[in-house]
Amino acid sequence: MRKTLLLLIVSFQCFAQSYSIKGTLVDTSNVPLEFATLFLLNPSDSTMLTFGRTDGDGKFEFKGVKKADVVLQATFMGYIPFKQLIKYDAGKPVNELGAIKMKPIDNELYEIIIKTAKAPMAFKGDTVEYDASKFKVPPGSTVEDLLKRLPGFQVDGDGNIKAQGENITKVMVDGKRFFGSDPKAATKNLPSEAISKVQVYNDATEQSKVTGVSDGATEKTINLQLKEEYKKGAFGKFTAGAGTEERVMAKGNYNKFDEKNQLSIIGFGNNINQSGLSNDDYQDFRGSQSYNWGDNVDFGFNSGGYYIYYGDEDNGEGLGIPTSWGPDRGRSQNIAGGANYNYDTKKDKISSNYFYNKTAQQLEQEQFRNIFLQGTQYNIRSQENFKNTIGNHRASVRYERQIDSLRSIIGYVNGRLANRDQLSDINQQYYNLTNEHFRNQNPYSKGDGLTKNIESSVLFKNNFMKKGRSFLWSGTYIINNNSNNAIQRSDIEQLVVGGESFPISDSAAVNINQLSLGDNRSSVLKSSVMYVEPLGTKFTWDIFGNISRTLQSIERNVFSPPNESTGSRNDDLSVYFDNTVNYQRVGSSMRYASKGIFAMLGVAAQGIGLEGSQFDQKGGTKEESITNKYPAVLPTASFRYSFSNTSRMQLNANITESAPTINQLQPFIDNSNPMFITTGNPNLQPSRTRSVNAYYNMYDPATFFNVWTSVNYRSYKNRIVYNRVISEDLITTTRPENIADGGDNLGANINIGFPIKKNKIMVDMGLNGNIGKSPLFINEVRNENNSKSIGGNVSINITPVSWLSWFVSGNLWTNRTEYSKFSQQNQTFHRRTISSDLNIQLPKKLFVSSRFNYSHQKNERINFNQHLPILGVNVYKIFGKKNQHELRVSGNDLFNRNLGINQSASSNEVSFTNTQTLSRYIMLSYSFNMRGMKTEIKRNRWE
Amino acid sequence: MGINTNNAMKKFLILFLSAVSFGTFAQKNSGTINYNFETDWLKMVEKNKFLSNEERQRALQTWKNDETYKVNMQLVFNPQGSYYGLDPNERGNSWQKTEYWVRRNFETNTVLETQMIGGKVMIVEDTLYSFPWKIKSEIKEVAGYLCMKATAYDSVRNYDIEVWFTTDISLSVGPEEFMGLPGAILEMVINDGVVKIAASSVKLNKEQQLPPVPKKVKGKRYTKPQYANEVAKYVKDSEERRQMAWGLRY
Repeated sequence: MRKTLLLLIVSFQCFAQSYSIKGTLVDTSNVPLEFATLFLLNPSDSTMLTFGRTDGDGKFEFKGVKKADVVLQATFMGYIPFKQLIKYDAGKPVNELGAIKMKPIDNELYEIIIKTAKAPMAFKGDTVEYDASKFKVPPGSTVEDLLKRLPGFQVDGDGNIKAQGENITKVMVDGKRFFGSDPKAATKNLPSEAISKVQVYNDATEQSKVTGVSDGATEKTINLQLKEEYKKGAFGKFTAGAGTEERVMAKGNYNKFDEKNQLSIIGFGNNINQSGLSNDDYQDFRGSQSYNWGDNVDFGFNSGGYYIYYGDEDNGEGLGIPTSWGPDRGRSQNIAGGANYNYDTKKDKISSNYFYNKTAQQLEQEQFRNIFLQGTQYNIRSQENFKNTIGNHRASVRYERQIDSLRSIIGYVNGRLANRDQLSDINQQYYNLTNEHFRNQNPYSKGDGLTKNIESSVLFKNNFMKKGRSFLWSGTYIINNNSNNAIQRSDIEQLVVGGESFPISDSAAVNINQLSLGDNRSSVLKSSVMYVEPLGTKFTWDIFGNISRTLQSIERNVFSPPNESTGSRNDDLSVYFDNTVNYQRVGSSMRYASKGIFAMLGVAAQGIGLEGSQFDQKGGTKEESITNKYPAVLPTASFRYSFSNTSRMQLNANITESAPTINQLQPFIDNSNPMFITTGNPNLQPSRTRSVNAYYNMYDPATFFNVWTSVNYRSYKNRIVYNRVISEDLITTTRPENIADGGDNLGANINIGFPIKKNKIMVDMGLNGNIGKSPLFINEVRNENNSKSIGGNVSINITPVSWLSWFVSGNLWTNRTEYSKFSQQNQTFHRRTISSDLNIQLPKKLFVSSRFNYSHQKNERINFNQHLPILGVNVYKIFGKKNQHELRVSGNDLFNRNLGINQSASSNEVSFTNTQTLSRYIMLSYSFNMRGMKTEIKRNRWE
Repeated sequence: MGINTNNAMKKFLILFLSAVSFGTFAQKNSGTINYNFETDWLKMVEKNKFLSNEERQRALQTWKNDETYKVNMQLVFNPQGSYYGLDPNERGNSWQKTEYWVRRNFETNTVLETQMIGGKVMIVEDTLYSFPWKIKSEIKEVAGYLCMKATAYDSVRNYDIEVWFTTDISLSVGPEEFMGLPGAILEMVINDGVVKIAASSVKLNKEQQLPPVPKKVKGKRYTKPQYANEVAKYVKDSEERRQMAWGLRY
């Protein structure tokens, strides 16, 4: 039984004329090796032809071997694999190899490498090679230090090396001799981190290599194989350009990095409306810290409304490094620069950066407003001039530590210091129903401000041995101080007309000349906890709590005449407001996920408590107190079902509650434009939004046909709207108030994509519609704006060959707005756009790209009809061996027609605004990129 | 996993590995192997030939702290057959309705797999197949077993496959679509480490049963060459769009 030869035979070919190979495997003391594995390999590429095992007596036989040379490889645990070429000999139908002796692997070597270091061991004849990276040495060690730790090596005090008992006379690096004949030169100088493999073998002597005649003598040789060095390097990019209309730009960045460190600097300056970094430049600047998705400190499902935060005037100026998509409106001059350093190891990650940017933006715009009242209407034309300059210093430090395999802690501090200067100069002309010019007004404001903003957080994450179980805790402290001062003036001139002239009743109230000093301070202390527990493999349960306390003070002092003395303080407009907001939420949700089904059901109970006190001045007497509590129970639900792996639907329903913002609550009167006064309302209730969304999408990977469709519905209760009261003399006062039945909105869209010719011509078509109702009180009469819109779009992506891509699209959109109380004002607004984006690669790395955008907007009721053709063309050539250089001519808005246009219909008015913006210029620029330019044109429209 | 075209298929060794009794080895013919399946996104970016040098380096810098994607897989085997699929203790997945698995029957020499291209399910049913392995003279230990190295090249996906197999488990089994060596594959490295599948534990059990074959397997049936053809088409399509073949299991 045991004598049976154990063979596995290749069955798909039957060799009528074949031969057999047989033999016996024994160790060095002739003891047979039983159940050793043998392979027959193709001699040219070691492809396995067949395999077998030895029997209990160490015997093997391969039958039916094709009549050709083969390699026999034998392996047995603890022995150096045996390899031998077996020549086919026509005279031997059975090739009897006799006893094959296998050499044992040095036991110490075997134990240390295989068992302890878990490193692979490779054999090339007698050469043993292994992965040196598995042997740990302290950072900064030399190769010599590494060799001392390797099994079978001895290094004496002078650095002489012995391997497997023999002196090493030759050290090679990547198979090449390293600096002369001293083997110590490499081992003493090279850092051990640079080494990936150490090989020891017997090399032919130099003499025999030179003469080509083997003298039979060998030298014990070490070869050190170096790691690939892609993880270390430097790169940078520089662009400078100058153009017509005095347009200039320059930007540059430089980065140096290795496995652990990344250092980058960046700087730019321009007057072509680029105020932020592009996404690519942002990633180059921030490196591994570009996106810290895990830094969210507010746990629990998002039911909104618990952020009560003082929104300061400079919109969109957050703590993060500013990035921008496209050129800004108006005209702007920008300079910016910064440095970023990241240190990343598995255990510790440290990052810090500083960034400064300054933007001076000038906006010149013309506005037309048509405002209607019960029984009459009037128009305002205005020429507006704004100059805003903002300089931001931003700094951030972040530290992340992996405490052990389950626990980690993250801490960060982000800060911003901003200086603002603003000027606003507006000329307004009022026209009555019969188009008579009856009034001029010019509100003017000039001021400056300072913002200090610090946000610091600690986030602790604890996972457990049980997969999916986790505990999270966060603590955050935010300070936001904002002071500003402004001279505010407004003069009104009434003109004598035949028709209605809305005479001014109190000219002192509308002609102002005042100094306004504002000082807003807020601090937020908040903390969140969350615990997640998996229940089986399909359910997950979580529970969370959020708590926060916000302290705010708002001080406003108005002096008229505009000098800072007690005598000129306007006590009606000056106010000090002190405010505390307490927020608590506890919630829990259950989720189910399995085989294409996801379901989530959650509920949270939240309480918002507001306590505000109004004083006549800071440290003065209390005038009024506001105490509000807003308890709420908010459910949320979500369900997703996959019909298959490529088509699924989703349903979401939730109720969110938004507390009023402090801006809405603070009871001071802003008369900076005395014809348009805004006040707060301390009695506001939170608004409640119920929403339901449904989505469906499918994608066929074979044909690329895809469908995306969604329907969403939203209804508002206690919606906060800005009601308007318009006096006889047209002074408009807006005040935020709740409307119990706050209207609703229904939107739907469908998009279909399909190829006309796969990978060459792709079409996307879409249709969208929206119906919305928003109520508002005007002079205490309820009016409803009913807005209906429908839009359609088609885009075609044409990518027939690698050197051409063309993306065209067309868009139609129509909006109908109807007013319940001013039905004669009902109006229809149309917008049509066509755009083309053509990219061509010509021979010799010459590229041409053009973007053309034609839009037509029309609103017959206010005689608004605007055509805007905008064309931009770029021609650039990439040159140099590594494609590092680029010369570019760019023509911007070649028809010189660029305008920023905004049209809107809201409350009791329709308006449009045209903003002068950066228009035609031609620029020549040169770029140098150490990493080389991309030498391909874009293949999709979003690139 | 890697698939070969018709052409490459012809070069394959279709190994009919009868469950030969190896005396003392017999008891090592059935049991369970748990694997860690790890996908290294950074390596994938590194291997993405459609990115420019700058784009590739930018992505490598930006995402360098990202963790690899890990999932536990399980191979259950006995002399009658083997089943490879998601570890039953893995958390549920709400995005995939159909899960990937490979079922082999050593008595009928057939294989049944749920393959996916861009999420589209394709049931592959054919006789057992294998890559043409090249045997290397390298050894290392995986999960307590001494393993030997073998390599193969996927000519459709254009990458190297490195596997470590142990002759101590004498059944020709392995994770994903891989088998055909004189023993169980305990570790594999695809495309220089984009995907690494390594056995975390091996439990031998004489009485090991296979999960029952589902009565009905939904999906269109393909033979191995037909499916390989679909993969080749998809890879070509992706190349034309200058994108990686994201829709394929790596």
